[in-house]
Amino acid sequence: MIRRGSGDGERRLLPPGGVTGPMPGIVAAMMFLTVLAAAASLGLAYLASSLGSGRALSVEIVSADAAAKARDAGRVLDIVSRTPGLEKARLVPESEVADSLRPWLGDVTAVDIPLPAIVEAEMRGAADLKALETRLKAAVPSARLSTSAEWLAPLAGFIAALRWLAAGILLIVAAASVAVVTLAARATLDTQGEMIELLHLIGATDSQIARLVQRRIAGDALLGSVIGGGAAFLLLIFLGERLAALGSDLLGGMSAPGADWWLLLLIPPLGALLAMLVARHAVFRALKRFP
Amino acid sequence: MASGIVQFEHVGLRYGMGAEILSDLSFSLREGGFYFLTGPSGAGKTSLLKLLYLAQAPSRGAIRLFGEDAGRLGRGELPLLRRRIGVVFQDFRLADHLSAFDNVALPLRIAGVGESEIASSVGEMLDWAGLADRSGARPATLSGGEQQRVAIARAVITKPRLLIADEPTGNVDPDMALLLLALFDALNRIGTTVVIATHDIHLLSRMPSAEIMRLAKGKLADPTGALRHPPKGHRP
Repeated sequence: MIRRGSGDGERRLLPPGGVTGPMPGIVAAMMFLTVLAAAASLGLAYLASSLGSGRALSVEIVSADAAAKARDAGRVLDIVSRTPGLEKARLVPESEVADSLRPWLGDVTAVDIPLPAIVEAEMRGAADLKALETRLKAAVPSARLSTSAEWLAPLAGFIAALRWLAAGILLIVAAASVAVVTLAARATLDTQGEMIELLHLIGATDSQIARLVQRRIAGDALLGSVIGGGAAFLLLIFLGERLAALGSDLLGGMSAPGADWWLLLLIPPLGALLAMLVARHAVFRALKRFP
Repeated sequence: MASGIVQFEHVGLRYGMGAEILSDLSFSLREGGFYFLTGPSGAGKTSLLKLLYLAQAPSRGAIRLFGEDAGRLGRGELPLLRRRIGVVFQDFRLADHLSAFDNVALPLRIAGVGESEIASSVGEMLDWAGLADRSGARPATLSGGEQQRVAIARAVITKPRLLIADEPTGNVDPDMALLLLALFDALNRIGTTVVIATHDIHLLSRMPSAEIMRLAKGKLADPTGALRHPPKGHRP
C-alpha cells in the first residue's frame, strides 16, 4: 500500500509560492461577476414569479344606471369575498376611481361621465380564477375580471428574458473561471516541471503531486474568491438599501426570502473547491506524459 | 535466462517515429552485483538507465524489476517500484529551494516517513557523506563535490535494492571520484545492486571485480559474460 507523504514536510516539496502572479486577481474578478450574475438571476426569478402570480385582482362593473351599478357591485363584492384564496376584497370608492383617472381625463367629477364600479382584492395562494369568472358572469354579465398578471405579462416576459441572460452570463463566467484555473495549473506544472519530474522519479504518486499543485491553486483561488465575493456582497447590500429606499412594490418583488440570499454565500467556497478539482484534473492529465 | 533483480527481454526503445536508440536488449542483473555501463557518447547509456529507473517505457520487449513485469503494472503501482530504486542523476537534480537536509529527506517524505525518523536518518546519512556541517546549506552554496554527495545521499537514504548512477564522477576531481567509488562499494557490500554509467577508464580499473556492460549503437556487448551467464551467488 502506498502511504501518503507527511503533511508539513510534503507541503515544502514545491518552492514556496505565496501570492504570486495574476491568479488571485483574475479569480477575484471572476467571483465578483459570478456572485452578481447569480444575485441578478435569483432576484429576477423572484420578480418574475411575483409578477406571474398576479397578486392584485380587480373586477370592473360598467353601467350607465347608477342604481343597477351599485346593486351589481354589491353582488360582485359578495362573490369575491367568498372566493377561497382571495383576501381584502373591497369596493373602491368612486372618489378613488376618479383620482386614478385624473391624469388622463382631468376632474371627471365635474362632468357627467359614468365611472365604472371597481371591486378589488388580493390573491393569497391559489385561487380558481376561471370558476370565479364563471360565477361573476352568471351573476353580473357586465362584470369584467382582470388580474395584474395580465397587464404585467409583457414586463414579466422581458424580466424572464433578463433572468435567462443573467443565468447565461453566470455559466460563461463559470466556464471562463474553469479555463483560468486550468491554465494556472498548467503554468504551475510548467514552472515546476523539473521538480515535479524529480518527485515522480523518486516514487511520488500522481495523487501526491496533484495534491501539491492543487493546494497552491486552492490557496490562490480562495483568496481571490474571498476578495471578489466580498466586494460583490458589499455592492449587493448597497443596492438592496437603495432598492428599499425606492419603496416600489414592483421592484420589491426582487427581494427573495433571506435563506435564498444566504445561498449566494456558498458561491466563493464552492468556487475555490471547483478550482481545486479542476487543478487536480489538469495535473492528472499533464502527468500522463510521464510513464 | 537466469532470474535476477533486473531482466530485460528483447527490449527496444525509439523516440517517436525515429530509429531505435536501443535494439533488442536481453540481459539479467543479479541481486548484489556491481555493474559498469560503458560506451561512447550517443551509444544509448542514458536511455538504458532511464528504462532501468522507469523514467521511460520501452517501445517493445519486457522489463522485469524485482520480479515484477513493469509493463503490466498499473500506474498506481509503479511508484512502489521506483521507491526501491536510488538514482544519482548526471546533473544531480537537486531542488534549489531545499537545503541539503531537505534534499536528502525528499524520498523519505514521499514515502510518508515521520519527521522524527527523517531527522535521525538524514542526520546519519549526511554524517556518512561528510556533509554534517552543511545540512542547512542550499545547493547553490555547495561545491560540485558536495552537491554530488547530496545527490548520492538522497539516492541511498531509503536503502534501495538497486542504485543507478549516471556519470557520477563526471564533475569531480580524481580524489573525490575515488571517495564516491568507495561509497558505492560500501553500499554494494551491504547488498545493494549498483549500476554505474561512466566513461572513466580509471574508475573501471579501480573495481576489477565489477561486471562491464558495453553499449555501442544501441546494442549491448557483454565482455565479461556476466550478463547472460551470471555467476552463482553474490560476489565476495
